[in-house]
Amino acid sequence: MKKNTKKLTLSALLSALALITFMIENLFPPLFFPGARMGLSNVFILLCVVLLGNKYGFAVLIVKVTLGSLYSGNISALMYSLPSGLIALIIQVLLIKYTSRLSIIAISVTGSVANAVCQNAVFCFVMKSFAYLSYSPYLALSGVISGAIVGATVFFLTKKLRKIKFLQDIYFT
Amino acid sequence: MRYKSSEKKFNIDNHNKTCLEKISSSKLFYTRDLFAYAFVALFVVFLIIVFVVLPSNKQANGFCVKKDGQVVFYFTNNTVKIQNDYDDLIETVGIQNGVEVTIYTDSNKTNFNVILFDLSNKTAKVTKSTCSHSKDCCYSPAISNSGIIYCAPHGLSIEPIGSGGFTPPVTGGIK
Ligand SMILES: [Zn+2]
Repeated sequence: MKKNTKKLTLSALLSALALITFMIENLFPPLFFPGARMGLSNVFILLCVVLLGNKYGFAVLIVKVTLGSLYSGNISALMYSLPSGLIALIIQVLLIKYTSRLSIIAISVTGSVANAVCQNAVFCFVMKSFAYLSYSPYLALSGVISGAIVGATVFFLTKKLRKIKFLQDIYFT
Repeated sequence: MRYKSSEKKFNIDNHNKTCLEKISSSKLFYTRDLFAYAFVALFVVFLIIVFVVLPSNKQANGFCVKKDGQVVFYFTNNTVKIQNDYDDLIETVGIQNGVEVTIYTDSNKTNFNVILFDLSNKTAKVTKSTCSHSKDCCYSPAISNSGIIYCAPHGLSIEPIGSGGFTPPVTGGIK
């Protein structure tokens, strides 16, 4: 298989995993507070950035958010989940690129909190009511928890995945 | 200078390789992480003070329930004041120390939210809903002087009114 085909295959697989995780999570009650989710689908987005690069990471994010809001029948969610997801991913990409000696957990926590707060702020803007900002501290706190879980998962996955032949082929052939 | 073909191709993806190498050879914790965590902690404290502690000092006079941005009814002085056109979609039941209001969100009356107004604690809470599997609105904590409950699938919002928010009109529009 050509290298680009392998990359495309892997990013498609990660998109599918992100989407499925997102859909399953939506079936369960929120984490501590309305609107708060574990955000486990972000594992696959961050993993894609690490394994395949920023371009593929952003592609997986866009696929997950667009199809996720379409399948859950809440297309208007796209308005606030896409900008916040993009901002969070940009922050994480910049932190990965330009900082050294900052753990992936700290990077993921920062991105996740930014995601939660941005999403809330855009939501207020769309709804034309600042009352929703009262959610923001709780969403930020749940962002800390979910960011830590996502960061730790990515940390352990990259340790394992670097040894897999399919991935090594992408880098070394 | 001649490269072996494998080296040449390897260089194309050097960036990704270094990213994977960087993360997979990194540690779970660095001292520098503390700065990131301190920044996040300060930010959360700031949000709590500005959006939870400060607004809670304001006294609300009741609640306003809106559907798709339009006021459906006010709950003030322990009474439900239904706006025009919404009479058929609202059922009110008095219970001990409270009022339970069912608001149907479609004309077939298949979808609804039940809102409980607690008179002794002066709070509002969504107790039942047909909105989604996750039922975020039912998991929203009861609101009193500040905060808002929002049911996204039904486009329904409940917020306090009075000195903290806005005051309902005294004349016109209210039955
Ligand atoms: Zn709901």
